[in-house]
Amino acid sequence: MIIWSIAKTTVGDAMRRKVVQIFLVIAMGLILISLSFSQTLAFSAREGSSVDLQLVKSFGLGLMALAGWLISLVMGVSLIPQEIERRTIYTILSKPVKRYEFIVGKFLGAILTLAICVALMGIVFIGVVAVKAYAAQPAHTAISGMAAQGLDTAGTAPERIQIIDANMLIGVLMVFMQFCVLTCIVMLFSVIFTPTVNFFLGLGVYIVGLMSSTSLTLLRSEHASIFVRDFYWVLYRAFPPFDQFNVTNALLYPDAAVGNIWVYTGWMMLKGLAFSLGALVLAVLLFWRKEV
Amino acid sequence: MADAIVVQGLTKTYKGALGDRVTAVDDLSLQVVQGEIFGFIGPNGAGKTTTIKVLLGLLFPTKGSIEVLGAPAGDNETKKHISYLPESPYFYEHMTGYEVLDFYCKLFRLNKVARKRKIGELLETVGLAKDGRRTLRQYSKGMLQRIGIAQSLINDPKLLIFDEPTSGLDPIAHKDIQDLILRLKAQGKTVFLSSHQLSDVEMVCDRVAIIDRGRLVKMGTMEELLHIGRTVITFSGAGQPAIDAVKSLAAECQPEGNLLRVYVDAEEGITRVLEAAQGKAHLVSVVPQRQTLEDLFVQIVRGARK
Amino acid sequence: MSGGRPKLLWVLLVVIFVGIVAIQNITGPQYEKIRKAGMSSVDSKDTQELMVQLPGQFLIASMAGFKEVIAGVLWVRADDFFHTGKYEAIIPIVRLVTWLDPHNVEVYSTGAWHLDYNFVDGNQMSDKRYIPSSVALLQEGIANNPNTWDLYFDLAWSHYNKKLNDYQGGLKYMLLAVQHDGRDPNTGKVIPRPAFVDRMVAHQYEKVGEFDKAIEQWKYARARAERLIKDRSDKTADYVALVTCDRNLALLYLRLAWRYGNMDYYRKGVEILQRMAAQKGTPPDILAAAKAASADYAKRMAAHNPPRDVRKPIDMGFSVKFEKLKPKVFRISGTFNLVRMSEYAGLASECVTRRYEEYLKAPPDRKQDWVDGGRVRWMLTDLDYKMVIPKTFTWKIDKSKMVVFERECNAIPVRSGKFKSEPIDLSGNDSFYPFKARKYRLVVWASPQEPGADQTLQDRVGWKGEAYADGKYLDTKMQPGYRCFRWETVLDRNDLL
Repeated sequence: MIIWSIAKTTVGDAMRRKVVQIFLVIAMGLILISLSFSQTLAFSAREGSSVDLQLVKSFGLGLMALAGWLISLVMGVSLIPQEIERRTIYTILSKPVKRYEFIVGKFLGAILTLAICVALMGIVFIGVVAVKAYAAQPAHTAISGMAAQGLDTAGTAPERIQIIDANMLIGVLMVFMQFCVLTCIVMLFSVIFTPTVNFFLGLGVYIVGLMSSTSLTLLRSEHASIFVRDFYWVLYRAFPPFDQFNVTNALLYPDAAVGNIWVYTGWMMLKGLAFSLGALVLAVLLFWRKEV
Repeated sequence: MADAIVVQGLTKTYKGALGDRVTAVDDLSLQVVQGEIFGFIGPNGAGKTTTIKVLLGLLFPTKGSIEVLGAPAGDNETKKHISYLPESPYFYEHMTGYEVLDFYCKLFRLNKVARKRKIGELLETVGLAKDGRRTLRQYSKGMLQRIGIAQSLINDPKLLIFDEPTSGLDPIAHKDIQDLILRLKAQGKTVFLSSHQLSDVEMVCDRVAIIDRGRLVKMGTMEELLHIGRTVITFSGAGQPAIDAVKSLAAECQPEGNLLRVYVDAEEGITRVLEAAQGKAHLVSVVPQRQTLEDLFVQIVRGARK
Repeated sequence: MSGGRPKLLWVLLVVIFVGIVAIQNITGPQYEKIRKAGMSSVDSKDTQELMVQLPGQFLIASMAGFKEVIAGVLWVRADDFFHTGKYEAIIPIVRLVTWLDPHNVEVYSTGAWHLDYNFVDGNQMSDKRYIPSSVALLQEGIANNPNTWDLYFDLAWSHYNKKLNDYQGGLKYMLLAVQHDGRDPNTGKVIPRPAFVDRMVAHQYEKVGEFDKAIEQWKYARARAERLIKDRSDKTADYVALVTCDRNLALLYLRLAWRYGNMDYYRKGVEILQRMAAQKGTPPDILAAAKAASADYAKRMAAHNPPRDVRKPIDMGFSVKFEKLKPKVFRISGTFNLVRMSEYAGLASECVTRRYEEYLKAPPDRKQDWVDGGRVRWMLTDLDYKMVIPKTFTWKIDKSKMVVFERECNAIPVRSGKFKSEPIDLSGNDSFYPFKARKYRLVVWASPQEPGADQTLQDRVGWKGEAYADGKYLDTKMQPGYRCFRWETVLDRNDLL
């Protein structure tokens, strides 16, 4: 009950922050605006070709990632320090609340806040994609213009595009889990560092995490010295591989994807959970004897 | 019965920004008996808040031991029986008064029925029954203070630690708090009161500890601290012979027009002065001069600084 | 809460770390595959040069999950360039977008179409030096998107067929196209390729003269169309597909019969037409064809008189004259007996085509004694020019070279046994026509595969020009299996300037 109460209070507090609200509203607004993309290209080789659907999907996923990143950083750096600064933590920890209950409650609250934000953006995004799919040209590719002369396309019934793309849910889940990990890491840092230092540290961790593939390549490099390889081994293992959550291309072009994307998503959810849990446990350990 | 608070040799040092060490509390020892109202006063930066935080387990001592209600400071079981009202308490602004109290009730694991009853009682007690559904953003400072007091009463604690409970309150609210503290004492509770409102401390506290620069300077009952005062003997028509006769027997002699005021510290000194002045001046009055706590405080702190 | 930190949490931390490493070992390789699938499988020097010029934030944005967005926005931007006529700017954008988003099939299609069709001179003649680039671009697109039919077909039809008139090359890619289906552009779910793709393969087999395979392909296309009708809720349009398959197969059978005397094919063709005629709503031309073909077939069977329209050789009298009109302006003219109407008298195909009957009935002022519609083609190149498809896409062409051939469907038309081109003006564009070489090769040729030619021409001369005869310029090497005409000369620069 204690952990849940602290979590609920955290959600209420975080969702009311102007910064979070602004990022969320702007992201949802921009995703909605993408409905107005109506780019039937004049110079396309394909009859009636429209890039709207792919643009809307990649734009929406990109926006959610950007908003998720901003919300995670801004929320994560300040949730715990603000409790100390405003002294609300005193009235909580002076009660029979174990330290770990406080930390777990704060983490849970932050994750729930992120989940709500991503869910809201996700609903708008999936809705926009469905509307665009409904309005899009039938899936029938003919060659246009002079090149089409002599092409006998009689009797070809155009295929209707499927409206609901369940794969977009993967995109939403990946955004959520990616920034759940970032939120937890930033909150872990917030136990020790000031918000300003933490912001840049969190940013740094995110950028290093985006280059996990590069770390993997370098640690496998035959030309690098053992020290360099060990360094990249640590980077690869210790830093969450944020780039591995980015499967936008596989979602836009499922036919080109390798393997079962849902299975991969399942593993990534597990990995994200593990990283988040690890950050949480470390935060509990650090907060155990932290003086407030 | 164990003492409510036992502090022995408490020292708390911090590492400063430049790596130097700052001693916030230095070898502090005190006891607070159960059922008393204990005043804990000192100038700004004396170490009051640090001490309180150590009592609550928010900070950890560098040296020394602290026991609260018979258990080490910060013990979770003990926290069920203590409560804390911080200075200028801040709560989640988006919550209503009811919701805030509900939140704190949950921290004590009260069930829904118990919470509802308790919140109703508390809001009534602190005079916020009609404002319980308004958000804290709309509360005045006094109302926030009342909510703070309400949250400190949720668990019917044995020991209440109040840090500046009357800060920013109007005189009526001030009086209400004083009455509340006295009621708590009547219920057998122990109140550890830290306040700059020395008149409040003087009025309600049984014992007071004065600390300065982390060290305990003076501790004792009100009577012990404030009856160490002077008696003023006023004479009229006292000429130089009278002044010469009493000057050496008194702490101070001050002619005021045709009056002569003689300040005597010890009780036996009064008799000697009276005998010495007999026939030389006319006795107007003999009045014990009682010091206020504020006077004592200023005297002690300034003395220490010299 | 005093005392040391609980050991249990440390143990839990270690367990979590071990778990993370274990999961990393699973997801790491999986992600590598996903990541590589999202990257182009083809790299080229041009790409590397372009990447070096990209601003750093572009690269960071592409790493941070925005590359598809950037690709999409860039591609839309390219549309602006098209509207403002800045065609050259579109090609580097094609390169960038295909690097960022190698699965955007649209970009390869449009980029290749753009290269082949839109760089035109004042006379709307396209720059043929870009053809290898467009083919290489589509080949790269195919390498990155091998699982859908689109690009294979696009390469076959728009480039090999229409630009290069290389029907064997076109067939190769069409056969690859029919091994794949399409994808729902929203969900990526497999959707059947359109019915016309399979029909175009049948047409292509006919073009290259593989008639048995063409017959099998028509049958297959029809069976597939039937299956699609059964699987889909919208059946209306697809019945047209069935009719189209039937009509084309029937005509193929009939033509093979008329031209080469195969009575078994004649019977099969008649049976198909009769079956079609028996259905409700059959177009009148099919009804008429069914009736006429049936009657002719019956008559020939009774008389043991199989048809053989492609029999008597025709001396085509091919000759070419090159004439410089002005510097860089020339004309090609000549003779080509393609084909007198009198050659149509008594053809077996007449029972359905009614070609000769129309000729006889036409009023004198409208009577044409020749079957016009055949074409003669020409190509002018540097003497040492060879069209080589590069291994990787590059839009950088050697602008000192020159290769010109006539507008796609506008080869020199033959009328009344003669042909004469409009003035071929290469003077207005030094970029397209640099005239740097000392020597040039001019080739003028005619092939029975001619696009746009009257179908009835082949009823007389045969699919492979079997009836073509000529003393001087008959060529059986330029298209193995086919009888073509080829005239070639080497010109000096002074002959053109």
